Amino acid sequence: MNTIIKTKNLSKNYKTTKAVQNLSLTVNKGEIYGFLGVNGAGKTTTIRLLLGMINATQGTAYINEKPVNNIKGKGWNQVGYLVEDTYSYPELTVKENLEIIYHLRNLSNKNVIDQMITKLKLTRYENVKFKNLSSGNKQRLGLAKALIHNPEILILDEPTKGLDPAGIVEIRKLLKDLSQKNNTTIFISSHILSEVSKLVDRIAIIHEGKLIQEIDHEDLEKLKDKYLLIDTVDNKKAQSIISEMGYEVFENDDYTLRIDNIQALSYPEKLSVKLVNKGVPPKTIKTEQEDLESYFLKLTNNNGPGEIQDETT
Amino acid sequence: MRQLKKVLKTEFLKVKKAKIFWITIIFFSFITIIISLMMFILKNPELASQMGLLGAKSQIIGEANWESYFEILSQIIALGGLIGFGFITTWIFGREFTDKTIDDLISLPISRTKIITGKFIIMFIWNLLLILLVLLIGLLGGIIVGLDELTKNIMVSGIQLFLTTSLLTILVSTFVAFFASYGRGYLLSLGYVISTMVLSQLVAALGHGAYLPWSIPALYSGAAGPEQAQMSWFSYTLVIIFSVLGYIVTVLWWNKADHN
Repeated sequence: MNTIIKTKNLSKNYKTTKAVQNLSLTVNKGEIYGFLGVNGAGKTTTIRLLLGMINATQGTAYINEKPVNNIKGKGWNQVGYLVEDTYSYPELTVKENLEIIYHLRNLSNKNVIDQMITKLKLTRYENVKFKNLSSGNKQRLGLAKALIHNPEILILDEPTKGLDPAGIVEIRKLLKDLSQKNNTTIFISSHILSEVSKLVDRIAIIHEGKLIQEIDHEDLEKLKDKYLLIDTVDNKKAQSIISEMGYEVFENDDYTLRIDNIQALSYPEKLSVKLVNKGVPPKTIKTEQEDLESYFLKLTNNNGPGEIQDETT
Repeated sequence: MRQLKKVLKTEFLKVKKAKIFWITIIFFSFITIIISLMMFILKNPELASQMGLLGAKSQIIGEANWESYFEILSQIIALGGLIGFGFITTWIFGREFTDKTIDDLISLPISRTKIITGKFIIMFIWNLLLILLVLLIGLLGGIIVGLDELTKNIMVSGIQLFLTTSLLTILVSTFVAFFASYGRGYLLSLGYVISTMVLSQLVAALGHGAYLPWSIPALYSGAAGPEQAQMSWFSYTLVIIFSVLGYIVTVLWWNKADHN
């Protein structure tokens, strides 16, 4: 498999802050690679290192097996990128801002500007100045700028930031299509875990500048804890019955009951019969798997609210 | 060359759409009209008492003739240009940081050196346009005011004085680009522009202006008298070296600095 993006012992220090520490990762051709981390974990610094925007304190980042600092000229036309919040020239329209990128990317077919406007559903806004766009449309323009030259590699930092739910789904589909049809390699950073989990082939989790896990999406499913979720007509009574059976029971925020015990998970019918016999028949009894958010929090030991989000929040 | 043309197209588009471009046109035109008006007052002394401060200031110019007129236009460019051209350079470079568009200029098939060179060329063209505008309005103003007959010799030496002063002023502006980049915005470079103007006046007043790049354009224009206008090759070489250094450090900074 071709390695398209690679970092080897990549580190970046800012005075006393170690923004990225000994980061080594590889992204293969056509892969969608999710780069997860809380705010300040080092995601954007890594992306800037990958794009040669900042110099590494130690180690090297490679794109197409070339150290990024040695990439010259057309080499950068293989890469499309979106870094942090998207900005464009405020007094220029959507079309004019794309014209700027068209020239700077040294492109020769001007039709790509209109094609991008159509693709990112910006037709209604093509003559609207950047400063008058909504944050969602600003993000769409940022994506159009990243895609205008049909790059082989896309490096995207929080690409769905500011988009409404329909926009998020649309961009996710667009990225999936690019990966499947064009074999585009996509490196996508996000702190919106549900967004990443639906899109990526592989996930890297970065915390305090360090890579703490790199895993295939399929393997991740296996690693996530399973539990039994029970809802009865009287959950208080059910909780004491289950406790008497020797199982540890947790009450969820919605007052449903959660049991992690492997015995209970293996033989849920036994539990069900017991509850029926005791007069608290279960309304629901099902096996569930922890979500990526819980897994992420467990891994990073981060219980601080607001650091990571579900796309619905 | 093709890539540089592409950069120039983008820079041209940015400047064309910017309000600041039209503001500089209006500002430089206004200043030139005021100078013409002062010449008119000087030519008609009976008006001076009725024109208040403008009338009083007009007396400083000296005589109402083409030589004085070209000198005052050159001096205005030497002093005002230091601020005006500095402001333009600040905008061209600093806006990329203030508008946070710098990321779009970094990882590109066109080198950062070409991007910077394109910006310097646009800066030069913009300043040149303003210079020519001042010259054109100035000439028209002089004719309308009815200054003495404009002989070929007076015109050639006057235009030469004006254009050389202007060129020297543009040349000393290159370091502004570095400060706008290093300061990642407008503040540091504007501080630098104001400081250099104050310093240039101070050092020129002490009689050492010929050794300070920012003082040289004003000295050449005759602002400190005809004796100090006669400078050696050292002063002109100093301006050129200083200008090239400004370009080099800006290019180096863009190529070596962290863009975050």
